Amino acid sequence: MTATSNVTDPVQAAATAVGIRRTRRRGGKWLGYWGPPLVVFAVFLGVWYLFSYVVLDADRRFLLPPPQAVIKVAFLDADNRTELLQALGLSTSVALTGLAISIVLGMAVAILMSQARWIERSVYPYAVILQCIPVLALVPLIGYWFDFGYSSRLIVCVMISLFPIISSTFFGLQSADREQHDLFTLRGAGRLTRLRKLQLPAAMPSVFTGFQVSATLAVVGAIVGDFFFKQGDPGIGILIDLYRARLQSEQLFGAVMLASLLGVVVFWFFGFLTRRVVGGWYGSAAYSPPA
Amino acid sequence: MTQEYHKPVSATDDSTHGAERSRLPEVALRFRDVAKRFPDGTLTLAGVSVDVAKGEFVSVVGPSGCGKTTLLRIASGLTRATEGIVEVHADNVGYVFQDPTLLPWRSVRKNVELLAELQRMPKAERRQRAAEAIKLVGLTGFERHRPRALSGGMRMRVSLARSLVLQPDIFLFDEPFGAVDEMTRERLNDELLQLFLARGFAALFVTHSVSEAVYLSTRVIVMSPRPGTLLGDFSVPFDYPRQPQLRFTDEFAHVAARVSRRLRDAEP
Repeated sequence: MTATSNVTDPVQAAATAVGIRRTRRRGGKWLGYWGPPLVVFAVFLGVWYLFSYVVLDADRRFLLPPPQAVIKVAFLDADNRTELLQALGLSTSVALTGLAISIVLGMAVAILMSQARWIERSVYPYAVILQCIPVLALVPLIGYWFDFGYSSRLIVCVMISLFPIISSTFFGLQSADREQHDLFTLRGAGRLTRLRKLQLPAAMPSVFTGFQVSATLAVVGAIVGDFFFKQGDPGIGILIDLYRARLQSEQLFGAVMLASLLGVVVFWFFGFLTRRVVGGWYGSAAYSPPA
Repeated sequence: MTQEYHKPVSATDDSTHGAERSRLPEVALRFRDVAKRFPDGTLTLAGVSVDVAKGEFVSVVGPSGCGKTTLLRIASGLTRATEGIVEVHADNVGYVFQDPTLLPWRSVRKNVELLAELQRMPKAERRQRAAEAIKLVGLTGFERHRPRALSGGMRMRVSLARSLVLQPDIFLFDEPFGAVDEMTRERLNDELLQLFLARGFAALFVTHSVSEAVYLSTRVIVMSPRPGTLLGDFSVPFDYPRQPQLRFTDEFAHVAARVSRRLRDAEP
């Protein structure tokens, strides 16, 4: 049974609609669902141990300390853990604030661009250039101009995460088709109504994909800025640099893990948000493989 | 170059007081020598003159690209004729597109309410009218469904209901049942005729199917290949309400054959 099956009888159609939902929710047995990723994870751990204990000698084991050593030194030691968690808190704050700025700024720019050709032509090239500049090259400049504190980190973060928001929103705003626009034209709908009731809702799937991409980039931005400024309160980036210099490899790995975890969490969160907001009507979230 | 586009005037506005004119059927839609040339130079319509009287169901058949859709777009005001006169005598014109053109993020009810909402109809009235329209097209119980959960035929019904909410005097149909299967199409044809009889709107119905045109219409118009002109105007001599069995009668086949022959003669 699929959503496209041709049903004209209301009762039967209701059954079809319910059927679709049920298949999606059932989603296979627990083992079928969690089994494969768990196996892959076990293999990953196996390879890690293999390298730590078999490939590397004891005196070179610092290149890849085994997982339990990382956990013991980086997370079970109270001082180290506090240091890492404080840094994580700072980096998270930079990433999320930067992302929020990117979302507001990026969507505003995209909406403006969608309103007039001349705005698009005058603004879009700069958005592209912003995306093409190697931000690392600008990091020292940003440091000169805005000092090495929180705001500079935010600027780096926004520069890295802004473009996907602009492009995905702009693209999404144009995804309503001609006949849908005609429908609004026929009823004399103005720009604002069209934007609010047609273009923005139609853009949501694309916009949320942009959010997801930007969210991970914001995490990267927060850590990169931190890593290169090397001053001010330490975030994950500064710690990574510090641990590398001091050959504290267990803590280095702990920092890397936390940074990755932050990225994964924001990615997952925005995926979740996407399904909540547009999953009810939009494509891929709706796909359920044939039974 | 004349362009006279009469914005919908009140349906009750009666300018035909003369004794002589009152015997003529009242015109809902009138095209006089209408031509349309697109900016790229393509001439789509050349001198088309058609009248659709109030309460009349007129179908238009013709080869692809002969300007059938353009005719509807001109009638609705979505595009302007480059020459000729267009008169629209209606409070409200309904337009049913080839695709159902539903907003996928809205439920059936919210989709049906859309046009009324754009027209700033008060919420209570809009609700009530939407409920009636949904009932009229037989979708009661599906108000909360999203278009995705509906079949092609059901989506088309939602699209119809959406226009019905505004109680249009003229309905423009752009090949609305082209994408549904034969069985569903015939069923939708019957439902459309029921609506037509119940509401008494005038209809201009574009289709590729001669049998659909004959089954639905009081008149069938045949258009030539581009640039579209009028090649034939056939009265369909069957009374309403029509029964599905009508399709299998000799008289039906005869009328359909005449239309088809004219259509084939038009092929280059």
